[in-house]
Amino acid sequence: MSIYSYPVLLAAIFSFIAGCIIYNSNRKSQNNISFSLFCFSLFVWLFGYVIAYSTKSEKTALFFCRVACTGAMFTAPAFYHFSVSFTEKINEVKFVVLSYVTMLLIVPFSMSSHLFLSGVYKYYWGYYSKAGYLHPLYLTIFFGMFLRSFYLLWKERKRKDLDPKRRVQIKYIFTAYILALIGAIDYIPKYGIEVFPFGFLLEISFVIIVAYAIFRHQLLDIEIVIKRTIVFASLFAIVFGIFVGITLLIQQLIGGASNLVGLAVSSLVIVFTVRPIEIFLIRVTDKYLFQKKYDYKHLIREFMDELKTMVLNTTDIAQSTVDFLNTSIRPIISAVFMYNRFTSRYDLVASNDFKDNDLKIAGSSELVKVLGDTGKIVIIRNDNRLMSSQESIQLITLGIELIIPLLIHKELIGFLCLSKKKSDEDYSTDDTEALSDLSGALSISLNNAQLFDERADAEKRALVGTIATGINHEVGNPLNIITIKLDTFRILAKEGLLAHKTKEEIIEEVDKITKVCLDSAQRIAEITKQVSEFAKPDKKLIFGKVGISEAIDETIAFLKHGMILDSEKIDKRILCEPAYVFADRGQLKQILFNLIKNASHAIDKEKGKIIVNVDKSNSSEIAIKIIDNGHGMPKEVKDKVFTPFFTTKEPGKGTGLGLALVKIMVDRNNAKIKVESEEGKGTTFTLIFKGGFL
Amino acid sequence: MSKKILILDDEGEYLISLGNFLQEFKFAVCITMTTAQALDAIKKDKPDLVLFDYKLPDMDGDYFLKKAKELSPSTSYALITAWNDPIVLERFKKMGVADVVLKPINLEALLKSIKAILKG
Repeated sequence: MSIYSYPVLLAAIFSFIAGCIIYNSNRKSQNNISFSLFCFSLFVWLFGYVIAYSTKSEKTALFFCRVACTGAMFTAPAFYHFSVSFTEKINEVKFVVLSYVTMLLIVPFSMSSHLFLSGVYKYYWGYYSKAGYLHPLYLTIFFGMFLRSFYLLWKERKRKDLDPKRRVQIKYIFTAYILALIGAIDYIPKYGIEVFPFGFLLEISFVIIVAYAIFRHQLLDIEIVIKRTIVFASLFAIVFGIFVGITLLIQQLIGGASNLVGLAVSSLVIVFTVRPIEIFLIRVTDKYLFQKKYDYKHLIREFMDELKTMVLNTTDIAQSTVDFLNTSIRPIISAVFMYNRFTSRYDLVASNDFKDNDLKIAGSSELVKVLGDTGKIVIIRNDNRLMSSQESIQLITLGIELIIPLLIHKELIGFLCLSKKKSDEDYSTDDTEALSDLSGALSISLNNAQLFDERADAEKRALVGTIATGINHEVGNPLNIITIKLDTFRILAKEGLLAHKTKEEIIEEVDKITKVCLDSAQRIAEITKQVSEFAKPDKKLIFGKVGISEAIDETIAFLKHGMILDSEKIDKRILCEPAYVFADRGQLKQILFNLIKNASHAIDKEKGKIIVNVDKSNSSEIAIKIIDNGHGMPKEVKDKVFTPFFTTKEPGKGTGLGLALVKIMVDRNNAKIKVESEEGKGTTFTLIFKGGFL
Repeated sequence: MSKKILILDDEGEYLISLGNFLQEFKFAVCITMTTAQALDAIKKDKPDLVLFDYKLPDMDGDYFLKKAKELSPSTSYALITAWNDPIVLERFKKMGVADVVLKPINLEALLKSIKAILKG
């Protein structure tokens, strides 16, 4: 037997076994039938060449080449059959039959005439078939069927109502299809060009991928498929190279009769080298082809940076983490649970493909105890204590395998649940190390976000307090006037104190009273309007052109009503044409409110002054400056003003969030903010908004 | 001789309305808008009753009451305020205000209260 025939023989046996397994797994499904037919065709094709490569007789070789070509021929209708069955194109069944019939019609000619196969070439690896006159015609039919299959799959892929699982399956079949097409390289030597026909390797990969995609529930990740194919093909090539090299070398050294010695030595070498070579190949493909995806440390560092700049919000952070894991470690299911102080339970805050959105884990459960005690990543199945807890069993039935605790000062603030990976690979030490690094950073940012949420609540309550004071004073007074005016009239009338007045005098009196009452009602209406303007919920930003001058007026009016600022202390100076900015009206006013309020705290009660200055920054940008002549601040304070929780006020006086919120709002409005300050002279905040002139 | 009542509040319209109302009931009314004016008048005129708000623009109510009592111990003081905070109200009662009237004012109740204070 020729040494070149061994890999082909292996591939032939593989195809045969694959065909049998696939057929047996579901004998009624057209998918299985057509695909096993494809495998059997591959087997015939490969087996034919095993003999052709090995035989010394040209006659035997020609016969087996013809057998091989018959096998190869039927791969095309079989694959077409498979595509039609997979895409459920019932109308095309007749064409499938036609394609089988066409190939059957060619069989007698290819088996017995020179039309399709005119003879054999003798190459270094053995005999190989020689294309006849009509071979190009056959090739056209052959590729025609493959092209039609391609078109069917392509159309299926473009369908909008495709369910995700099927979409993934088609993705695999496509990748496999491209590989199979490269396998057509095996036709080149038929035209007299001496290239070893290694295409069968790719056909085998094709079988593996499609079989995996269709017949197993667990779908392979497409990148893993490529990775495994590369590793598999390279390994095969290297092993084959060693095998051929050593055998030939020993033949040269010892002589022709030493085939067995060569076989033994090369087998020995292969046994000892195959595993290290495989590991090496996996490492090389990981490093050079999938570096970005698999370099966890790098990825995690990037993500941790992202966490730092993220808007402080637990749900956002948890969701980003789930998304991040989805593209890096790629579990099928992931979920983040966070402790809820009010219910003493762990609630689901973000997830991907997690089936039970209402699942809550009690703070007193065994699961929580174990996570808190170990503080390390646990695989549920490997932990006896966990396996005895009801919550763990619940998580396992939902597909969760791995739990990563999130701890702050040994307290379990939450945990991260992962199922097995999409790739079906186990979690490696690299993975757990990476997850452990991530959990540390994640715990900190989630904890910060939780604190931030609480502080933001406090800030909101403080604002409500301000508004309440404002309402009490500003609404109370006019209301009081209305009451007094009406009540006076009523009491005087009742006491008979109006009796001496003339009709005209009374009408005049009533007119005076109603006028005052209407004015007061007007004042109340004005104030309630301003309050509701200001307290508008900021869930969705509505961007538009906002007139700056009015926005500033409204903010100052509000500050005045809230008794925060005396209107004499503040000056508005518009130094350019009437301008507008692109912003969310409510947030622009909140930004101005916070900055002016801050300035009012910084200035002297008597000599203090705040100037709000509007000028063009350039043709498309407007600069709003809030300038105060207050106490200013030293550099180290200035550098930290936008940091959350940083405050120079006494405890209880400021939440330290005002300017941090300003920064967040400025960012959300695509604007910029900077601060200049000199101790004892004052501070200037400059806002730069995109805008223009009316 | 009619009793003298001084009213202190920073809201002019309200001040005038309340003043007019009390005049109809034959009180001698003096209205002031700042604590400085009020303290001046208290020192000079020694009114029988002072009606004042707690939220004052230039001085807080506690301080005003202390100062005014020093200047005219014989005068009665009543707080008229929208600030319905039991702790604050309790504090003023302890400081010796004769009554606390909440805004918006019920004039009949106020009248009754004034008469009661001035009689006692």
